[in-house]
Amino acid sequence: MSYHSKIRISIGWVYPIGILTSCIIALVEIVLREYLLGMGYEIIIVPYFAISLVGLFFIVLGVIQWFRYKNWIYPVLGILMGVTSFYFSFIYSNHSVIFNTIYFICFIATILFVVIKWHSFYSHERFEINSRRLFRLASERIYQTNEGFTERPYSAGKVECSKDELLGFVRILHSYYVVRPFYYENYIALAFSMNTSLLVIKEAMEVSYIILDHNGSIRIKISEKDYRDYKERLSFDQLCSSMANVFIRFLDYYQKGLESRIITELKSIK
Amino acid sequence: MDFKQAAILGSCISKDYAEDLFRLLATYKSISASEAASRLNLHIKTVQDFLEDMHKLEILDKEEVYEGKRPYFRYWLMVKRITMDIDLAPLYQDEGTSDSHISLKIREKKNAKVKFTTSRSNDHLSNIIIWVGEGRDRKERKINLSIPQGKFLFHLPFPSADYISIKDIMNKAGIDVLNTPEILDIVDVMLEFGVIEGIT
Repeated sequence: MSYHSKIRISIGWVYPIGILTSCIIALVEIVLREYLLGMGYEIIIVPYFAISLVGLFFIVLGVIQWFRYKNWIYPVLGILMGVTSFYFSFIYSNHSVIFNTIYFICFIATILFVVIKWHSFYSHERFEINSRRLFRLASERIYQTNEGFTERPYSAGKVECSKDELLGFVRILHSYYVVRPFYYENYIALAFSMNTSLLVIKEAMEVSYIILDHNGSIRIKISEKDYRDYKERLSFDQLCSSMANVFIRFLDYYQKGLESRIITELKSIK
Repeated sequence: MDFKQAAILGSCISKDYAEDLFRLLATYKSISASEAASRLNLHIKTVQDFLEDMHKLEILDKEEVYEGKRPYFRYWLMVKRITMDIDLAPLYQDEGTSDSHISLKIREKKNAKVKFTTSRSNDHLSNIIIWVGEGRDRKERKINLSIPQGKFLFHLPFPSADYISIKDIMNKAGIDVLNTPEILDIVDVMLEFGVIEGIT
């Protein structure tokens, strides 16, 4: 059995990689500056280049996340962190007090913004992590790679379930941040996505979703964006069928009073 | 009367001068195109075409007349009543053909360059947009679907799935047998545009 993930890594992983790389560049820059100082050049030890690179990195990544998640909080945070990083370089040198003041204002603004929007950041991260787990779970036993993507929803049959059970099940999934539900007259659409932020969508149809009809019918649609996040072009009908089975299994756990198994199973997936 | 003849008759009858021309034909024992044209202040070609069409439909008869060196035709009415009777029976699909057609196994074709729109109730498709051609010549063709057609295409096997017969898809979608002709019609259209592929 292969433990290699079938899904591309999340963009969030770029942050630690980028920061670690910047630290290495900063160390190299400091060593170089010390060497040049020893050679008699009049330069400051502060690694301006590495710090500016970090600032640029935060801004660029914030914009990339904006395009990916369609959520404005990421570019705002990126710009705030980028500007703060840029002005950070001035606090260790004898520059004007204005630069220091700007740095502290930016720093406080960044902290305030994160505190105010904490719920959005937290919810988005949880939704994305659990959506990734869902997609991993669905693709666990699929090895055929004959693609076959289509925009049509997949009809996954029927389940025995009362309306109250369905509502309870949906509430549980929402409380675990697995899906974001959208309630309609005859059905409930559960949205999940590895890409677009579930906090900004107006309708479930904008991302991947599963529809649970009040009469028990199940229909599922996996968006092209999510499907393209798989490293291989997995057989699309098998993927849809497998994803529907994951939800049917979760519903079964809920009906048997074993709802804690849902999150256990999601967390168990590699 | 077949559709072509009915179309000619319908087109002629719908002309605003048709009644006047028939009145002249009913009044005169026989009349030439030039006489009728001058009488109704129409172009001779217009009247000529009308009279020739009526002759083809065996509503008028004609006779070639020689006056001096230029021969011409004189027309007169053969009937006192015109009835339009179109037989639609040939348009119905033969049951034998339908039976063989319904066993055709189909599925959606890969990269079919098509956009499916789901209905508000989300249990059937409401229309399909097909892109025909390439580059600047690319055109959009939108086909609105009836509810049985929408349900049928909703349950069409995915491009990577196994082929399923039309009959089985209809059963899966819960479509009445009476809707078979319209299902076969949309299947033919989808096959023609390369949206679905089939094996016998």
